Amino acid sequence: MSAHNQDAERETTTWQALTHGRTLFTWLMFSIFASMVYISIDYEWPANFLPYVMGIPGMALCLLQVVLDVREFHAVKGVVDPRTDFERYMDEISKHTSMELDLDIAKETVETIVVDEDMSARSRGQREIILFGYFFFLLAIVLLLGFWIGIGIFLFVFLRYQTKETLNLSLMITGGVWSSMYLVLVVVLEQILFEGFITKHIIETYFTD
Amino acid sequence: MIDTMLGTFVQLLTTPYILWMMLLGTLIGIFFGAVPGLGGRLAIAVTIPFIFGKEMIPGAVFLLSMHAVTGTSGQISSIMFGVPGTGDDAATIVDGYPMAKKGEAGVALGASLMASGIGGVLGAVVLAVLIPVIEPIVLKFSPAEFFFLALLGITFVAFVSGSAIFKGMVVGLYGMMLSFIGMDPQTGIARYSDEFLFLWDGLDLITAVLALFAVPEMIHLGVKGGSISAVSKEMADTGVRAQLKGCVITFKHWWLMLRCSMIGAFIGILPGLGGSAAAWICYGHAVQSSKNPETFGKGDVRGVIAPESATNSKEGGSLLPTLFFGVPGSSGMAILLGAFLILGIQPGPMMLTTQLDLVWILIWALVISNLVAVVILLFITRWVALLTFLRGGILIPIVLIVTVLGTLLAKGQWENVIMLGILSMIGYGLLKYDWPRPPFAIGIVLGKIAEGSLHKAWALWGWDFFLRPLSIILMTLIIATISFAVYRGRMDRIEREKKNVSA
Repeated sequence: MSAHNQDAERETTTWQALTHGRTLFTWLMFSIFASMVYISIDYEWPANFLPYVMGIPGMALCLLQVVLDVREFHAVKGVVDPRTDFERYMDEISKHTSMELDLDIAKETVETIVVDEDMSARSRGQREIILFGYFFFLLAIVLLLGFWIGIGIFLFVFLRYQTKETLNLSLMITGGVWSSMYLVLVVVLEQILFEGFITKHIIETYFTD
Repeated sequence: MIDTMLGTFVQLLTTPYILWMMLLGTLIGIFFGAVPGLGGRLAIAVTIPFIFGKEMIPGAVFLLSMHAVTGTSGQISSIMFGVPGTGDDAATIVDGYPMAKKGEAGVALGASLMASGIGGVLGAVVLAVLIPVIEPIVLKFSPAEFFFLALLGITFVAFVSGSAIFKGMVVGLYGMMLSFIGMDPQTGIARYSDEFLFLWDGLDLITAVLALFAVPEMIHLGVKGGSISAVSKEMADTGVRAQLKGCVITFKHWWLMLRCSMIGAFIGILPGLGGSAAAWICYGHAVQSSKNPETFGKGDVRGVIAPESATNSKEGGSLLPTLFFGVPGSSGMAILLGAFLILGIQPGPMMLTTQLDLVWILIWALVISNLVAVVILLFITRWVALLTFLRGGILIPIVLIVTVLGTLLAKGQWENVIMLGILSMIGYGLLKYDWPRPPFAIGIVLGKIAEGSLHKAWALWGWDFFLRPLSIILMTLIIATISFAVYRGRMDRIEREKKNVSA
């Protein structure tokens, strides 16, 4: 391999390391600190003192973490650590206890918890998008239609289409959860919850004198 | 002191509302502990909104009782199915699960319940005994030291949160930065909030905690998928008689239980060392101090008693730094501290002077809720065990709804729902990329206190506050912790590289 090609390979790898999800998240943390420190420049003393005292070391630590992320990425040749959190945890604990742990049982536990075989990075990413989609759907529907209408629709949709429950079970769980919450929050605790922009508009337009 | 101790005990037992809140907290704690993946931290995060606006004592008793018993019910799934509810329960698997496989699930559960209950009580006793010892030390602390204590708390928790101390510190500082949002008490400037009036009072703590802890856990549960259906449900069958036998066996090993409870309570006092460390250290202690260590790992009841007594006794110990120094003893305590602040409980020397009755009520609540949980679980364990099979697919939407409800109940502002969405994405990123989240709770909880302390210290001593003897000791501790973490990280890397070369 020529020197030029080797450089190109190293350059590509560094770029990959800098744009890998893990490193990008560190950049995001850096940008949060940087923005907050930048904004605090306009504040007068002493309002800007602690934002500087906490924010500048935060930025420095983020940059240090970027370096560590890149080094780690090179060290593992771009292959993410395959160990589960639980296995990493067992390793960490073994340092404190200075004894070998019975990993046979730990492995068995891990196998027992994770029975889903299809856990590639791609399918993981897809699942994240889907679940965040549902979560933002919940937030949006609560803001638009209000808490009581929103949670009913969300719960039914989630159970029926994400969890793939039967129609009867989905309706039953939705009805049960909704009525229990209504009983506790409205009947017992007399809480008034956000009614939603659209619902509020409809009520004000059509049902108010 | 004796008057307060006895008076608060009578007050607790003769006030039906406080008793009811304690019982409710215990029952909810049993539920959150028994369902794998939920746990004490999530229990507090999700229930904070419901105690918002409640009276200080019943609210605090509810939260502490709930948090204290999650460990007691958490080991049910560890023993019966080899599935730890949380990291704290993992040590119990090593001997508890083999016992269940040998058909001794009931004995293991009985031993575990009794060890947890007694451990919890002994932890509270340690806390009570240390109050007069700690009093002169706490009263010596000035605002300058409380500022450094906040930083030390973040450093400690970051240090023990994993191998990535820098990540932990960044998350702690991030929490602190977010705590600066809102009106600055010194200048009246609205920091980072501009025309957003809902931010002028500061970022809602409940929303932030729910976004960083509850939502990411639920998304992760959904992403991870899977269930524990691979385990035979037949093992859920267990009898009260076998459990009572386990309870009796625990007392045969009373010396081990006492030692491990003491170790657990003292580990709890050290800020940052959580229940997992307490459980594993005591498990190691039980093995090392045994005349026949070869039986451990194959279903030795001592391997259940040691970690369980330590895990629960740790709660009493960790209340000490949490209440008197404002430095949470564990990640769960960090969230609990946030909840206490919401209830109007201000940690620090005041707890020993004007609020000593509250401290004693909390100690009694810790004792009684642990004992109540043991009695309840003795009779309902077989049904509680079925909670282990509750599918994530059903839990996820319900918990997500509760988080939105919590956000709306906290301040009644719809804008916080949007904040919940934004912060949840960051929270999930932290979880996904192995950034420890407990320092965030400490940062956001202690940020305002640290800032207030700093300004007071500045007004009193100017730059000299850095030169106070206690300040120097605390600064040295912070630097030493970071240096040790860097050294440890470096040694780990060298060791890894050596292994790679030899491989």
